[in-house]
Amino acid sequence: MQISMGFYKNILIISPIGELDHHSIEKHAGEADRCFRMKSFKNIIFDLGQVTFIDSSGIGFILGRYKLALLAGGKTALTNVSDQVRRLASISGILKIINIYPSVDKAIESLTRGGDM
Amino acid sequence: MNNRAFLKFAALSSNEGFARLAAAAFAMDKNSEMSFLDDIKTAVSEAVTNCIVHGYEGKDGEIEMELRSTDEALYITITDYGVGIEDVALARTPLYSSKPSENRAGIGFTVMEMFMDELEIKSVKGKYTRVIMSKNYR
Repeated sequence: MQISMGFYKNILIISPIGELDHHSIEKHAGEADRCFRMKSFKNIIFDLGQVTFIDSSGIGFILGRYKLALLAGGKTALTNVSDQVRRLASISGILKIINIYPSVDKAIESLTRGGDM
Repeated sequence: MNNRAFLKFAALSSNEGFARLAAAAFAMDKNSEMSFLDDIKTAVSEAVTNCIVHGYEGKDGEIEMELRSTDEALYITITDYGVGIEDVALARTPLYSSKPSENRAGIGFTVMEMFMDELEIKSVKGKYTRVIMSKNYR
C-alpha cells in the first residue's frame, strides 16, 4: 500500500492506495499521525476510492485516526467507499460515529459547515 | 472433486497478503465470484493477523494453513503454536481485544463468523491456537 496525503484548510485528506491491512498500517500509521500533528489539523477525510482490500486492521486504522481528530475537537469522514469497505465498516459499528460521503467535495462541504473551521 | 493444499509460512505481516491470495486462488476453481473471494480473503486475513499479533506477539514463528475443498464447501484451518487463548468465549466477544490500542477494532473473530458459514476455535494456553472455518460454495 501507498498513502497519499493532501489538505484543505484544517482538514487532512488521507488517500490509501492498495490493500489496507495490518502489514500496510504498521508502515504508514506513523506517517499519517505525524502529518496530522505537524500542521495542527482538526478534521480527517479518508478517501477510500483506491483501496482494493480492507480487513479489521484497516477499520482499526480509521478508528485510531478518528480518536486523534476527536482529541483535536474535529471530525472524521469516509468517502468513495466500496461495497467491501462499507460491509466491514458496518459490522464494526464505526458508521455510528463516522459518516460516509459520496465524494471528497461533499465531505469537505459537510465538515466546513456549522462554523467548525 | 476434492482438493487439498497445505502451506507453512513465517509469521511475518508481509505474509498476510500472501495467505489470503493463496486461499482465494485455491477457492477460485469452485466459485470465482468477487464477493465470495472477498469474504474468503477477509476471513483469512483476520485469522493470519491474529496468529502474528496475538499468537506470536510479533516474535518469530510459523503459521500453518490447510485448505480443503469438496464440491459443496471450502474448509480452511489456520494454526499457530504461540501463546494460546485462555478464554476463547471472551476472545470471540465483539469489540473485545486482549491488546487494546488505538489501532485495533477488536472484531477479528466477528468478521470471520460473519463472512464464513462456520467457525470453530481450538486453543491450549501456551501450546497452540487453531481456527477452523468453512464456507459453502453456493
